[in-house]
Amino acid sequence: MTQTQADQVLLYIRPGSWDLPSIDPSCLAAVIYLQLTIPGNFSIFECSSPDLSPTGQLPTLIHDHHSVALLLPIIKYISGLDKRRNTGFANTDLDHGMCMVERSKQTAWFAHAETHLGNLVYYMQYSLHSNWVGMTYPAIALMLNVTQRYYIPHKIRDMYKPRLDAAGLWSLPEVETESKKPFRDITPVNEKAANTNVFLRAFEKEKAIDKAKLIFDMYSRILNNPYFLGRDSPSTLDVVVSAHILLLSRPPYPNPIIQQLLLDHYAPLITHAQQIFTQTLGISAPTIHKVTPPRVPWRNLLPSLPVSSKNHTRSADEKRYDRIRWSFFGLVAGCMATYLAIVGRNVEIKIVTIDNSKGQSEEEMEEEDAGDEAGVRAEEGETTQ
Amino acid sequence: MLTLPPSIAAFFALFPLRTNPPIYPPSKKPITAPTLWIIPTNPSHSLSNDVECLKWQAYLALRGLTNIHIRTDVHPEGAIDGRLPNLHVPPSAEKKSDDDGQLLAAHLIPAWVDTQTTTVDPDLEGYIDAAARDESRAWVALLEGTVHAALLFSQPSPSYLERFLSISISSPLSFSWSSDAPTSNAASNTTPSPSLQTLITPPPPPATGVTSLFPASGVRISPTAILTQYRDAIAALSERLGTDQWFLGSSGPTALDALAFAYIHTLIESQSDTLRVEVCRRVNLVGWEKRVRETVDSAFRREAR
Repeated sequence: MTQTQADQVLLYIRPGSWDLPSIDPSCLAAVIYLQLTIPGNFSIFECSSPDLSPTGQLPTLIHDHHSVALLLPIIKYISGLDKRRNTGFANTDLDHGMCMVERSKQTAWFAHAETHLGNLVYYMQYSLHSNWVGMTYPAIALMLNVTQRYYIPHKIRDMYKPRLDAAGLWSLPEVETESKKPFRDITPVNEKAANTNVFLRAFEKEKAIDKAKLIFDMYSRILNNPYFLGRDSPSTLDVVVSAHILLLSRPPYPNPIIQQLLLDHYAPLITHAQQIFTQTLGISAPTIHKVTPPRVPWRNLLPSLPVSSKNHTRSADEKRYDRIRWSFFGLVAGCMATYLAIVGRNVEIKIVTIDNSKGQSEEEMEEEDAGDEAGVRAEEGETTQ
Repeated sequence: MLTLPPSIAAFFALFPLRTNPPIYPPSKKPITAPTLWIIPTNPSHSLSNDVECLKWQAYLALRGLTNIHIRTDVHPEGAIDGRLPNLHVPPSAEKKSDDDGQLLAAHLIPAWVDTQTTTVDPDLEGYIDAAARDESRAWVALLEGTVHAALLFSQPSPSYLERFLSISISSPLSFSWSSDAPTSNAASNTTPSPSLQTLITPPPPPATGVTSLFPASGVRISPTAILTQYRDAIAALSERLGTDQWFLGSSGPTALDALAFAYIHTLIESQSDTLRVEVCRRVNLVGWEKRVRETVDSAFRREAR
């Protein structure tokens, strides 16, 4: 299929890491959806921060002068493409042939997956301190240039804080409190305070694991082989859930509490996600075309010279004015030259060295009128020629 | 002993100490029936304007309780954890009559209701099977996420002047996040009421942008995306209800029905045309809401003040 540049489907996503195209579950789901529906007919543009996206949000899809932000609108837009004329796409609706009740169920599960599975992914990536320090922070920092990588990752982390706070998944910092004195007395009070912190953190993990278990149990129950909700081909829900499961199971988390739970007890979910991965992102899958961002050289920051590059034919009047202008400049230059020649006949330029009392020598340009009998001398210097 | 110099004593005499008689609290009204404290309602009926309060009103009514009083003169700051609704329960019969009864926070209401009426099966929670119970969780996520985001988005934000002048009446849409799974943890009750930042996936970047050096403020959201998701949600809700009497084909009302009623009623009463039209053009939702509203309305009695 040949397409012009304007018709090209362009997807703006967060850049990837850990062998996945994107580190954000919504962006990853968008990529998987496009790989399943219009493989090879779209390009991705990696935005290191949401500010680079045309809508200010990620994922964003640009096609044919439409811009669509966020996952569900993107999926709706793409699934409606085959019904529009002259697009040349076919079968872009993954949920083709679903009855209305099934579709409505899927809408509800979609919201559930985005909210609850999303919370788990964000908890693992941004909330757990060791994962943030050991994995997510370096990954985000490497996407940014040198000045930005020192302050943007923390701002990105702050974006997730209110949401995880509301879900009760924002964890306490695990910063080691180094005691100033190396040999501190172990008093019962100190020990109790330290233990309380440990207990709080331990129960926090228990809470997170309990939440994760409830959610994974539910998805295990609705996963009827081979796909969710008893379908025999992947649907939108499969895309969304597998994107989250991939981001929970594949990255090398330093503190893999939920990852371990998933790998140990929920093999069907892993197998399902793996299957979607092989189909869309594996080695045998169609390659994803990447658009590199245009490089902005420093030269662009300099003001350009006010030379008009366009040369339009000049009219007769303009030519005449040009001639008069140039003859005026010529006249002025001639007058100046003649004046200087007459006035400057007797002017002589000498180089005079002055030795002052401290023995320092200076070179001075001194203008001396040879015509004057009483030559002006420097105050105390001895002149040499 | 030191004595005060007469000049200073004369000066102090200009400001004599007056003692006013103490103000005693007004005599307490004995509580006779369970009373729900909610955010002010329309004068015409007894349903609250606030989704969270309305949800618990519907929950109480749909569990079959009747003759519940409501009280609207309590500011949210006076409620437990600063959040309405609270249920004021009269003392049980064997206790002394001068007992003030008990004030319950919202998440303790189901346990109290279980003592009053027949308990529902804790495993299926009134749904027809386990699949329907799982599905109800998904619908709760849809209502509390997508639909609530649209509601919050349609609310006009208070102007700066209002924000400075008003002694903050808490947001009319304040409600707790974990409504389907009430937890006894104290920390979960102090969670802030959801904002758009907590409801949109992925969390929206600040309006000042991420790369700017300015401190972050505001959120950058896409109205089209929110409304697209909202339309989808209402269409799905209508489709799933179909011609059933209760959601998910249950034989009796469930917690999901209470939540759905709270949202559908708030949307129908909403100021925003965009939101209201989506619901009103779906006949089954409107009919269902009307039927449930009569049940809920009749269960409550405005307390004579």
